[in-house]
Amino acid sequence: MKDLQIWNGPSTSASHVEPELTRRSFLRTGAAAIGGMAALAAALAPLRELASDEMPNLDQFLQKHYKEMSPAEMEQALERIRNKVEERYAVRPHLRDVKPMEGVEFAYALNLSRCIGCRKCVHACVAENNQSRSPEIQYIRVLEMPRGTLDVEKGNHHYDRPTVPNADHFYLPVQCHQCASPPCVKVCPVEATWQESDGVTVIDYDWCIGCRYCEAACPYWARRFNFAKPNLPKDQLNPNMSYLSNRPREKGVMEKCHFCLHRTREGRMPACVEICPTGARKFGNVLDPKSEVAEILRTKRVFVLKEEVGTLPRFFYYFDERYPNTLDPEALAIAARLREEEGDSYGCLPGAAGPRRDFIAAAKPAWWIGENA
Amino acid sequence: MRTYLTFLLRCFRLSFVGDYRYYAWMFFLTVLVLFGINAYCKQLVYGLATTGMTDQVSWGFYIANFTFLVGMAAAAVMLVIPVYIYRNRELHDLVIFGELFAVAAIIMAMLFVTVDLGRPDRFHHLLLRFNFPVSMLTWDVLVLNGYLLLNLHICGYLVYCAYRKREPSKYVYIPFVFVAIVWAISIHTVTAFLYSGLGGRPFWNSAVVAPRFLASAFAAGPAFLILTLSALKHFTTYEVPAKAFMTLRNTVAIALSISMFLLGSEAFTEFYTNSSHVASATYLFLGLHGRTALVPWIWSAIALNSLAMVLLYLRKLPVLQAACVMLIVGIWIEKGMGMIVPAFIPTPLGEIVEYLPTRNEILVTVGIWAAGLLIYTILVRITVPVLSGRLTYDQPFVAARDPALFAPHPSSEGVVR
Amino acid sequence: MNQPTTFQPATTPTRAPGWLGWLLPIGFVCLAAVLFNSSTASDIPLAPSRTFDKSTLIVGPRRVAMQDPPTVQIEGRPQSCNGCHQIFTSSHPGGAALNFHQDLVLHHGLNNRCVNCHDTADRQKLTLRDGATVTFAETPQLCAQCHGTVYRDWQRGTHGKTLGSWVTESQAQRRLSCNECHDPHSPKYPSYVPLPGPNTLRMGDQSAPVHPEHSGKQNPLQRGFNKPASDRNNKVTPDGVHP
Repeated sequence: MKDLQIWNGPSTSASHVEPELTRRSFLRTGAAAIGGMAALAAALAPLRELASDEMPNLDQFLQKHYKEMSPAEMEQALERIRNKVEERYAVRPHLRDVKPMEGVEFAYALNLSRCIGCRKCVHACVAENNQSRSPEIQYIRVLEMPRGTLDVEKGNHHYDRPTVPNADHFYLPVQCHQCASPPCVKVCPVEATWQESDGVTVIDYDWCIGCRYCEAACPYWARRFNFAKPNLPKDQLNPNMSYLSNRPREKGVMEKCHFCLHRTREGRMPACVEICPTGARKFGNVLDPKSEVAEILRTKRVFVLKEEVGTLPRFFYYFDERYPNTLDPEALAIAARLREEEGDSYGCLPGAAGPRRDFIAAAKPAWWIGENA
Repeated sequence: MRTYLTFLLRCFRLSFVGDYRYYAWMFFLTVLVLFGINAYCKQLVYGLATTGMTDQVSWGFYIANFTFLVGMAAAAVMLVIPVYIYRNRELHDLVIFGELFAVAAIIMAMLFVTVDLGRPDRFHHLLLRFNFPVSMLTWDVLVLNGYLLLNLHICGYLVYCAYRKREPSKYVYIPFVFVAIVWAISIHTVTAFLYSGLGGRPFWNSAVVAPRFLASAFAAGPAFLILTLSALKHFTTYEVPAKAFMTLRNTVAIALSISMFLLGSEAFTEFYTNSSHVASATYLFLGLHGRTALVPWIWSAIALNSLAMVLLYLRKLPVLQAACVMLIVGIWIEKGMGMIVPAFIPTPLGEIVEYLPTRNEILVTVGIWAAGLLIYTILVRITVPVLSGRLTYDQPFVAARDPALFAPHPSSEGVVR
Repeated sequence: MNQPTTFQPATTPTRAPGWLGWLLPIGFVCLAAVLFNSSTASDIPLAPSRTFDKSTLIVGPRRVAMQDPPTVQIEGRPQSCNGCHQIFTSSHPGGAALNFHQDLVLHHGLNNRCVNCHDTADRQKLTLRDGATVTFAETPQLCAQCHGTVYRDWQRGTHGKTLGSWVTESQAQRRLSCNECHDPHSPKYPSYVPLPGPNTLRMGDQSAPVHPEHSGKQNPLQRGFNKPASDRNNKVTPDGVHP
């Protein structure tokens, strides 16, 4: 048979069996199989670019969930991470597992009358928490909001002005609110994220499988994913780390604000609170009645974002009694007019009577009910 | 046991046998699979940044295809119901093809979820700490695997019984068939609940998501079955009764009508209320703040679905096939890109970052589709000879002489009895 | 189920030419070559991270408050206030046309006189409304006279800045005094240059103006403003007041 017959046609007799295997067909099948294997190997070729510390590792494979590790196993995991950081960044980190303090539940308050939108909090957080710089991961997002609305769709994330604050705007920084009823914890299929007793929602970076369901679930867009291998320059590594907070993460896992628990669980302040130049950010133990945050919750009109979603955040916003960032326009106008008219001989000294005090008295609004009306 | 292993071996050998058209098709699919594997290896090395996904749009093409395929898998039940509940014996044999399709679709869906994971090497964590019953993803893992096992059992049992030339025992498969009917509804409902339970995504946080999913699945799945049966009819001598096409067509027409109605219902609730929750729907249908990337897609989907609905009512077979292709594409767009991506735009903080799949992402997707079609082709390649009695345990296996599946073109054949 | 479906085998088989079968291995080898040579470089568009002056991230008070007793630098040496003021009389009790202290800008609301706050008899002290004096270390008491509500908040910790620790009344906790943030002569908190904004993966061009969509209806809130809708970037801040 010169022509290859892939199909021989119906046989006239069931007992007549055509030889299945000829030399040619064997060679052809063999060549196809080898060609197929070669193609498969070539398809798998990019795997040779995997870095040595990204290769599957038995220790990491067998490592248990954070909540199940014994102290010895935790120390073993910490040692493994220390070695890895030292290998990659040439710095021996101070890495430990910091436990929550007793009798402490954190709360955060943010004074929207004082935030000027300078974004120092954003970058202090990045400097503290060993995020990837390229692609850039920032836990805090500052929105420039027009006056009179809390609709975040009207906010501008990408403002880039010569100076801030911008008139008739206020600034709304958003980061993880460590909600008391966290939707991210609800949806995680492997329990890689949970809330600890001091209120911080944490992530076990060695347990997360990277399904990003939590990122879809968060109503505040607080969670970040390492889409690429984190690129952290060696000189920007912060060696003060803890297991659940700012140790360097790997590609394929989630991360987010954790209230700098490696600092706060030892009494220090989160990086964002410490850097804020205006003191708009307040942090503390809400169970302590004398703490700043407790005072704020008691005395200021605080509110939370997206309250209707039912997440019970522990991050509260409030406005102070003064309008933010501008002096009262009425007082400004009066001062300017007085300077013009009377030069420098006006003032606030008691007993200084005369036309200027009447002027000031006359400038009171019509609804003013007081002694000097 | 030995017979079973021989059966498996014969199935394996049989999948490499066919005419030149079969080899061309399988080679084509294999090439696509290999490109997909290559692209996925790149993704393993460089991370999910090789896809178009970002923190703003954190689920994209992979999850869109996953959603669509779970629906397709659920639709296998659309053949089971008329056969087993309405005792329509004529369609009895065709149930197998529906369930084999369900197997292939579920495998594809699971592959899509796997390639979407950031750390697939930590898959075993799902077994060690399983957030059931709170996390809907855990429900999804359970129901999808259960559905796969159910269908493998039913098909495997029936095919093996045909191979062994013995009557299948009712008690071994009929209860599972009824379980599969309910289970099929549940896989897609669970997948819908994945989305509709999230308060932070108002586009998804709607009760109509689950019914929409089911309706569109029951339109697209049987449409795919119509296309498969048409292919079977064209390329093999396996007889497919016209009644099968008509039953499936009825299902598709009704399901598509319901699906379009539910889409209209969703659109009304969003646009009439015009609250801030309408932002995602505005982005999808009209464009938001000058960003209009998805607008042509959703309107094409609506046009395709409407045209398909019109063609379906014409009740002609070639028109039916065209209608099926149109509505599969239309539902794929509407359910995939038109359902998953808009929920992320704008983000919960109002930012708009648009999404387009990258080349790598498309290669992986095409690779997985090709793998699924490869699996399905192999399963059908095995099943047809077994069911038509050409491959049984008492006949010698002569692969080169298997005529059952890939006979020459029907127009040239004569009838020989 | 058990009746084999009848089939009609054809009489004429397909005869494919022999060389066709070699296409398969050749195809695989070509594919292997293509795959092996395909670029393994990542084509992820990574924008370079923006740099800024890292000294802006140093933690600490914004300004150095005047110590007690107060001094000024004259020709590089600290000099006490009374050193001059007990010898020379001030030419001007007002706030303008000073011969010295010309680096000061007095822009403190309605205050236009130095003597509103500084004691005329003893320049090392500050004067209160009732004539009593306080030292420079007790500056908040002076501010409290007019800014009572703010002082009340400052005492509670809800206004102003705290450094060191959130643990109440711990050693490490330090509350900043009023003039460690506010320049007493021109106390309005200054404007800052904002640090770089977000630069996330594939975020595209985010400079496009945002057009609020209200389906033709105007928001009553916006009626009160004569200003145009917010412009996004690189426009001068029209806040009208400079420090």
